[in-house]
Amino acid sequence: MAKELEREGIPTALLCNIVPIALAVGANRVVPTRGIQYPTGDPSLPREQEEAWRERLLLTALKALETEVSGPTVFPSEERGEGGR
Amino acid sequence: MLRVVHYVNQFFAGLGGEEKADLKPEVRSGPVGPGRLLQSLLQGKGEVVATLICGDTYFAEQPEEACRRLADLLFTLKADLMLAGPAFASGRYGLACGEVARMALNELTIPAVAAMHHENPGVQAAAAGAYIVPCGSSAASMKEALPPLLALGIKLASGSALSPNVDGYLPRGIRKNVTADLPAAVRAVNMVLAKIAGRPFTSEIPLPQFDRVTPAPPVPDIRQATVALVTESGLVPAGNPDRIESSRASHFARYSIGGLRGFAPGEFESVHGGYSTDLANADPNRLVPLDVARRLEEAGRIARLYDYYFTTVGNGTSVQKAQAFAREIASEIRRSGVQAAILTAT
Amino acid sequence: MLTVREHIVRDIRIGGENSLRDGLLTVAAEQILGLATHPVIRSLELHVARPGENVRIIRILDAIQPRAKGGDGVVFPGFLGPARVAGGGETHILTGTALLTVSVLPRAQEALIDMAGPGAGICPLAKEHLLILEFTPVEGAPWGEYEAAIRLAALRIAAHVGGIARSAPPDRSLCVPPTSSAIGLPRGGYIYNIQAQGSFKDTFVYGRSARDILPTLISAGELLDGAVVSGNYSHPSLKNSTYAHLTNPIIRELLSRDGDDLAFAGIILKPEPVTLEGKELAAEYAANLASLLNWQGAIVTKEGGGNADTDLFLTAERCERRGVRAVLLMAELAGPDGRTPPLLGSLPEADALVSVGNYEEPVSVPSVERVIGGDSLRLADGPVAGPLTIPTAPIFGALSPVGIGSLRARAQ
Repeated sequence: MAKELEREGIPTALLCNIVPIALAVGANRVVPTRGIQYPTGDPSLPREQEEAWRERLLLTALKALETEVSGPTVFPSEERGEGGR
Repeated sequence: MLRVVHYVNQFFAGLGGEEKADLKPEVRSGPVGPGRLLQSLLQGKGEVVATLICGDTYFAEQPEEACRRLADLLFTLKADLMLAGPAFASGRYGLACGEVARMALNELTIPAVAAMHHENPGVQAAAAGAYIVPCGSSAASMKEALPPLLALGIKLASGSALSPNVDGYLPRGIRKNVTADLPAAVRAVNMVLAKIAGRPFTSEIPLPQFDRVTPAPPVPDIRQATVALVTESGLVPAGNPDRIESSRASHFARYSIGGLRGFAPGEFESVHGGYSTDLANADPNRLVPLDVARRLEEAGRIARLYDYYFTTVGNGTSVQKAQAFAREIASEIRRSGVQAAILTAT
Repeated sequence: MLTVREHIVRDIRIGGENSLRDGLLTVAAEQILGLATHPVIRSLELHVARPGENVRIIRILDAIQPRAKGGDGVVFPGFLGPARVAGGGETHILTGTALLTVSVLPRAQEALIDMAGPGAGICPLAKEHLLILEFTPVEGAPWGEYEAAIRLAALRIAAHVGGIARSAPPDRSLCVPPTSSAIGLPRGGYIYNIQAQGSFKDTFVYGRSARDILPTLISAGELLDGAVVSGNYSHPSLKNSTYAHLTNPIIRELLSRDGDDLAFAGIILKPEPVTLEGKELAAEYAANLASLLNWQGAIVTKEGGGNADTDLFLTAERCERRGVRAVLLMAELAGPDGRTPPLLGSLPEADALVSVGNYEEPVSVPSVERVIGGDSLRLADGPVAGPLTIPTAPIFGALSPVGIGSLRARAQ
């Protein structure tokens, strides 16, 4: 769906967990999430921190929408391994 | 004795060139033009009982009407097999041959095969189910083009199982279960040994070719933009008022979020059948981040959130359906001045 | 070294004294029922279903091939005895037969076996003589406890029935060495993905859930002795039943060709984590093990639906990067008419695929005279014994990811 929205001229930030598939399929602005069952969440965190994470994700999404891309591009919101708990 | 009907355009019927391309569908008794060669190749297995002729321009401009007339004629002729072309590299002719072959097979259940060059735009009919045999690009190769066309037609009409690899037609993008000749384990070991040795092997499942979409230009300043929230997580108002299916969704829905500062647990739920929804239902903002999005809107990070969010279930949804949903959503939000979208996926 | 004694079963009868004579397996009912005594099990009813019989079985949870040790030791270690590494001594197995556990259980996806007709032709277990264990729970019993109780009972019964073969002369004997001694042959191994997500979607290794394990080595003998047991009730045709773990054809084929045209370099048991990070670590770790052990090629199988495809593709990617050539087995999601692109996504390294069939292709099965396991099926529009048109998906084992089925899909 993200590809189709882009095809119609609407820049779209796709928030998803399984990034390799999104890239292989050709979504252009991909924002990795922390879990399949909670794209804009992280239930392992206390409420306040979870909302802070949600805000980080959204700000990354907004940045992706403002960024010119030439093909499938990942916009991470954290360093890999940062999610260790 | 097979009753074979042959489809040709005005040129191969000997009726004229471009000036006759607006010819409406008509029928002649027996073989015409290259049909005579088909007749001799049939060698008593069948007979070209009739030839259908249609002008390439007429077909291109009125495909439904052309097909309707041709279908009526085919039906009356009680054809056992229809052969179309060869169209070689001729684009309009190829499109017509492919479409007629598809129509005869899928709608009239008449075995039908077309022949054309593999780069002819008419080969798109293969993806819709037509049997298309590749041939040369010029009519000079007519003698080489006809035998494979006829052979596949006869085999198809006999009801034998066919496959593109064995029978030489263009892949139709259709997969069918069969009993394997060798157990999967044996095939796997054979394949890995071939791969290790650098010997050629044939992968059994075609890798999907995903088309690349040119990225939409970015929003120049997101602070001035209206943003729409879209999701395939299956988030719906409690009770699923529009009955979105938990897998193989047939539609999407839009729900008002105007004035809502977040999704309250109990008021919204997920109906997605592909993952465990407990965590999401405990806080639906984990699926569509309305609470934070609203705060960002208030803080001026975006101009506005669109008043509706769009939702469907992305579980076993066909690609075509997903594309159709997105197109409808795009057209609605564009009309409403939305400049960007955030799509959450599970 | 494990010595396997195979005994072919050609018919089963319930009643009388336990015996296996000329392929006829007779089992005394009372002893079997006695093994299922448990506070949360209300009843166990035994049925037999033979290939070709006009019978449909539903509410299938697991299938187990009977086996028992010939001397010391236990099969299904961790369940029937202490968790000690298995795969030595002598094990008797009964072929041509399987136990089925049948029961209502929440979240278990509907599974079906027709013993005759078009449904039977594509179901590997329809070719076996089945001893069906139909359990019912005590009302109000916690489902987790019940599920564990029936699994234990079924394993006990499988070992008990296997034990009947001890005194019978085997039809075939097979030596299964712990490692290969072949030299100068291409080194090919097997990366064995198992789905372990916790309750009712789990796999047990030596009695413990494999949910958070790192990929690890395991030998063929251990698998033959039941070190890996299924507790997975999702996807009836895409999961690995205990029967599949015990009879895994990939392992059998690698064993049989060890020393001929390959050196069977080993088995890596690998979980399918649910996060991308977990998947990447597991794929990387498994590929690293394969590389440390000088594998030249790896056959990789999965368990489950589309989510596990990512594990498969990532494993292929990480193996190929290390020079280990990867071949993957998978079922296809090509839609009911076969027209949907058959894979959800892929990576370039996933270029050697073996098909085990299209998951969604419809199958029409006729009405049957007898149904075992219940009287309703959500899959069915009408009565459970009536004619049905269903996708291939609920037919137990039809698209087995380790290849116990006979289907593949082809371009048409």
